[in-house]
Amino acid sequence: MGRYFLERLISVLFTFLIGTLILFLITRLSPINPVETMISKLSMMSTTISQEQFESMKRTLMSIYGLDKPLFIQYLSFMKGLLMGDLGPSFSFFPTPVTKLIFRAMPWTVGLLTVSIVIAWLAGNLIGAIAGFFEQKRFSKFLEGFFLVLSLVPYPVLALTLMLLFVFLIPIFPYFGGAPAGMIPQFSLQYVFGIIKHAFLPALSLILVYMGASVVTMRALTISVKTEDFTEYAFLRGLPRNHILWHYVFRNSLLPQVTGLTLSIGQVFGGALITESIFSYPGLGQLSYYAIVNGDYNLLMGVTFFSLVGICIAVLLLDFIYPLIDPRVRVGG
Amino acid sequence: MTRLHKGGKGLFRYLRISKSFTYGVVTIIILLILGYIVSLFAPFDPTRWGKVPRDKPPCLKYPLGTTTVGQDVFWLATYAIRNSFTLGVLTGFFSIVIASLMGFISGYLNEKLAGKLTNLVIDSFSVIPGLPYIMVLAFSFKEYLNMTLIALFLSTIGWAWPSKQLRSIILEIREKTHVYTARASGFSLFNIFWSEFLPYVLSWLATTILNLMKWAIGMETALGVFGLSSMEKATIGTTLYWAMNYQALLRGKWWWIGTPIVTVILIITSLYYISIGLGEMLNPRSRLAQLRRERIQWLKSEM
Repeated sequence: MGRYFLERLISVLFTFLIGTLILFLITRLSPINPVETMISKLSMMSTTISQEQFESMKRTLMSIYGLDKPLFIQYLSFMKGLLMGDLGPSFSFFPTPVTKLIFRAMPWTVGLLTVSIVIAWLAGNLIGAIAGFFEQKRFSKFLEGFFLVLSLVPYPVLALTLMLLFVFLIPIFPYFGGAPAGMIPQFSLQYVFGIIKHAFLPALSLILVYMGASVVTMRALTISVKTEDFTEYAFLRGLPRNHILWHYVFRNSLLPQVTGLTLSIGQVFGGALITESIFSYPGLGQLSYYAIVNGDYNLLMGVTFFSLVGICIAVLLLDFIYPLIDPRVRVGG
Repeated sequence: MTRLHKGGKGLFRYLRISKSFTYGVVTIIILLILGYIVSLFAPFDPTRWGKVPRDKPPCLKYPLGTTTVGQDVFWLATYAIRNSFTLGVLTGFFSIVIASLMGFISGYLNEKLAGKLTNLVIDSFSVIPGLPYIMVLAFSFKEYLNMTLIALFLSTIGWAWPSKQLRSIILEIREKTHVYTARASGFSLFNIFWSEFLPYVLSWLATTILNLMKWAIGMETALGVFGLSSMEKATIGTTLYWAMNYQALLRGKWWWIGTPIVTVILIITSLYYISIGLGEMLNPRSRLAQLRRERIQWLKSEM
């Protein structure tokens, strides 16, 4: 048993290492030189600079950023920084450290995504189970069709539609941001209400998509559990239908869905790139979009690092809790 | 019983039984005709600006209206359909090749070091956050982007989940009694593969390729919204991008933004229904359910 966990731990650790290496190499592909972007930003503010000044500035900045060393050394120093909890400075917000930017954005993303995912998971599985249990009824078929289309629509299309409907055509929700502009963060009813109002549309779009997927899969799972022998036996025993639905069918169908929930929660730390860009929500997704477009490798590495950690922990957690919640899973053969 | 077998064989019989599969196949055929045959008759290159009057709502001459920059939305859509299918097929093909190879190696050599290492690589690729990864690649090669390149980029990450699935399928089949029986009965390796493995892998293969196509087309839409798709080509993503760029909906030009949205929904739903239908048709276990459904239909028609 202990050996199994140790093996899993080591393999997840290696997975993480290879993952960061791939991401590190990919981010360095960017044709944008963050140093040149920085200097051109600076030169816009002051008078023109000569070629010599430009070259010397470039060299200084390259060495400050650590970009003058070979790729392998850069990777090593990145890993070294990682161990000490230092992800380096952001190139485009120099000298703000990446960790500070990330921790500023993280509560927004984590709050928005966790709430949306949990609501969508609970509601989706309840609806899916009921729809699956009464699969021949007309409302069940309607529900399946409705949520199926929701889960199949490409997410940006859904988000844009909501945005156009409720921001432009019927302007009841704000255009951008995560909190009322110009308001000091405080624990007042007004501020909390403002946050909810800003998060409502992005959350709704996420909930609709997640719910679509979980209703469709839960319906299918319920239908398959319904035809299993033990459910048949429960019917023959004459147990009340509600009892069979919740105690026999629902509980057994829920198991695979736990995997989905854990993985989704693990992905929370990556942020929702499309959601946050479309709704201009000040979270990790927007941060990584900014980093991609501005060639800020350090920032991008930082954000993806947290997302990798989140997913790896979720995967590890699944390995550990599955034997606990499902006695049928035999560990270690 | 005679009526049961009257309706033709295989695919055609299935077409009659499952309405959603019929919907998928018919829609796909119409879209394919639009994309690969009708688009050849375009009177001009639909991506060029200023070829037709601007901002015309749908009428007889311009069945889906025209854009603010003077493009015919109908011809634009036919090109977009073709590009989307090409992208989907290429991504499906590239990804499935990598996925099959890696999945087979890691599943078949599970106990060996090679299998373990392959599995590690699969795991690493499947934890990488997909969208930022693709966006960095697309952004880095922005000037060179075309459908093949986007398909290659998508495939570098799209293979990971399918190969994880294939691995677990192979691990499971290896332990099945009928495989042991076949092996003990002296079947050749080819025969074992053909009759014991393939029925499982075949339905997986079909549904996975279609899912990958669906995923690729959805990803292209997402990239397009960010302006990171192949901007000179007509695709669903770029059409959406330009429509948004010119505030099409705010200015009431619903046909411009509506066409790519409806097109992508049609493509994705039809691919989905085909994948579900094919999965059922090729899976021996669900063929039983199919028989049951046919019997119910037969009983109903008798009543």
